Amino acid sequence: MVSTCSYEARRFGIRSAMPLSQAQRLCPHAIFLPVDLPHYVGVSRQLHALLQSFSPLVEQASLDEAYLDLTRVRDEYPSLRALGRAIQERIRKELALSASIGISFNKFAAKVASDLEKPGGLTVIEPADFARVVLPLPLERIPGVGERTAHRLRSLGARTIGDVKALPKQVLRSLFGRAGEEIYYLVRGLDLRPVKPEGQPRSVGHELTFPCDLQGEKELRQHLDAVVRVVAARLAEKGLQGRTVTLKARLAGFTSVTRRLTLDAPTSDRALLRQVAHRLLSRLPHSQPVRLLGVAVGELSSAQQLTLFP
Amino acid sequence: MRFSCPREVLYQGLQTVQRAVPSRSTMPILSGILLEVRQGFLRLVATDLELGIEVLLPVEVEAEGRTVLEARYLSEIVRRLPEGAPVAVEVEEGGGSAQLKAARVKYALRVMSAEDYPELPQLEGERLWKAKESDLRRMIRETSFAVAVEETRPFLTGVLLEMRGGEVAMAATDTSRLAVSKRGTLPGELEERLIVPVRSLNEVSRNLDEEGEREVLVSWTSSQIQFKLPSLRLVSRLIDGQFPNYQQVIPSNYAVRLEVSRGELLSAIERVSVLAQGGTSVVQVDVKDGGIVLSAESEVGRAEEEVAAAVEGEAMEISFNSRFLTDVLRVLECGAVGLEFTGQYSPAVVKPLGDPAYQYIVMPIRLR
Repeated sequence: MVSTCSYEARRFGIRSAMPLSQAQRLCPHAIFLPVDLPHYVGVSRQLHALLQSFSPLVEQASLDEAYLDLTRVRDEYPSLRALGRAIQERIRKELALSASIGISFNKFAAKVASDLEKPGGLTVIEPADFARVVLPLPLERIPGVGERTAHRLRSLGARTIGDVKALPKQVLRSLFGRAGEEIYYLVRGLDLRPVKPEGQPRSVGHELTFPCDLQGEKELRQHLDAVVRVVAARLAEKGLQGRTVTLKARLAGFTSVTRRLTLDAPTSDRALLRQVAHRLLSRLPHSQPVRLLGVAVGELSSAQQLTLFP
Repeated sequence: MRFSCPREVLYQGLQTVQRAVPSRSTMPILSGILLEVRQGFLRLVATDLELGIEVLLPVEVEAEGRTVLEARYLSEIVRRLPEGAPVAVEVEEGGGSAQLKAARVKYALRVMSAEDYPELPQLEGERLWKAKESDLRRMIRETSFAVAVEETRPFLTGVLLEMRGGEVAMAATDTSRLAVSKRGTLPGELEERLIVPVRSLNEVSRNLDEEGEREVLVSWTSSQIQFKLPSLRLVSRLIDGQFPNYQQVIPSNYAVRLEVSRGELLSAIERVSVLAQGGTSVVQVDVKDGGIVLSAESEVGRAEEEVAAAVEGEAMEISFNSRFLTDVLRVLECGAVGLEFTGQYSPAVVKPLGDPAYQYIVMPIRLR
């Protein structure tokens, strides 16, 4: 199966999700490469870091697509186009990749803009140009409109985004519910979805399953300390601190119990986490054999509260 | 035992002692309130063995005696009695129930044995601090909010009561901030460091008047402390442990000093921190010529507000947990505060202007 293909290969009719044999027939001199996901992830991370140097508000949409909120940096450049060029240039220089960039007043319009001149394009859609540029496009370009929605819209005679705009709100709502209402606003250039930077993990934790049931507070504490060491190390690595500590234990018979404690302030301090974990351990149902112990630290924050006393 | 009194008198007394009744206890007798009629007074006592409260109420005494009644029912009954109605309570010698009458309602309420009720210790030794009511209330108010909530270090869940060199100070810390209020005086050379559970102090404070002139007699042993007013006595357990040596973290100099209106700063922080991050609400203070700029931001957006301030020293950017600032600004009553910063990652001090008796030290936040 073809995962993806270059623009050159596309000219021969090769498409994603096409069987390899068919692709080979269409373009016998094409070069076939195995999927190297670790490499792609690595490059994707580099790209993400590069984009973040332009704006802290970067939302990764897929391995090779991202949204940037440029509202607060646009004034540092003579024009939006110049800003787009600067980003493209850095990507080309540092990653040896070509990138298509669309700049506009919301995510929908920006996405449409980025698709207009592939590969290596740079398109700016000003609010005043929205109707002229976007409305003639096929309705499949509307975000959230998949195969089935598109099919039903076509059955109403709609082909372009402009055709969808002509449909009354009530019709869209009765057909697609809330999603229909969103479509109604999107085709009018009203897209309020914010650029959501990659969220922090909700919690950082580690679990240990024992080869046999363990009993006795002393032994359990030793294993718990090992779990806490890992959690503290992970927190430190990510530069995070957490305010809630949850202890999870699976008892013999596969019943799981959790105990939680909320601290005054976020911490990543191993000694404190250990102390809290021990307290939570003592709150488990007594004298029950334990099969698994886990500790998770939640309510994470990257801001580190400094302390007066060690 | 037989007495009568206006409903309001009994109601007030029950309200006060009831706060020491444990919600759950392995000792059933503690779910009761001790009633003792003696020498023209009704004495009410409740305790959970950590905190005990006793009040003396003037009542019409017809026969002396003592009994224990279930706190829950007694309070509920008295609360519902018609206002202004005289209440009569009677327990026959050796009887199994108490008769309670008011207006046209009658209750017969099961009694528990007064012999089983743990008596509050009387702490009357030489170790005594005669505190002024309003000062004591203020010291509690100015420090109790800064204690640690978690129980991992129990000695931080209390307020330090420190007597030294003729002065009495209260100090509380959760390790990120420290509140010190030094408003008491004490004749003699007494030196003492006691850690009082914050809950006990809050109960003391509830019974003190902001502008009261009464004398509160504070006395203690190595494990308990007593606060005594003419008709009220609270006895609390002390917390074991070594309170941190707080003096050494109070900065003696500063790099920047600001004078700013307390009210303006408080409301500006509250406005800006609406957009601060969920977990720890971080507000950044940007010191400039002629004022400061407060800002906060999160995924949702960014807020910024300028606050006029008299600035002395260099420019600095420093971030705090906004709650650590609003807590202290709410508690103070002065018009203006002095803010002293020693560095971006080192302690900051909040002081009420013209009032050397109070200091609040807070550590900043390091952003990554």
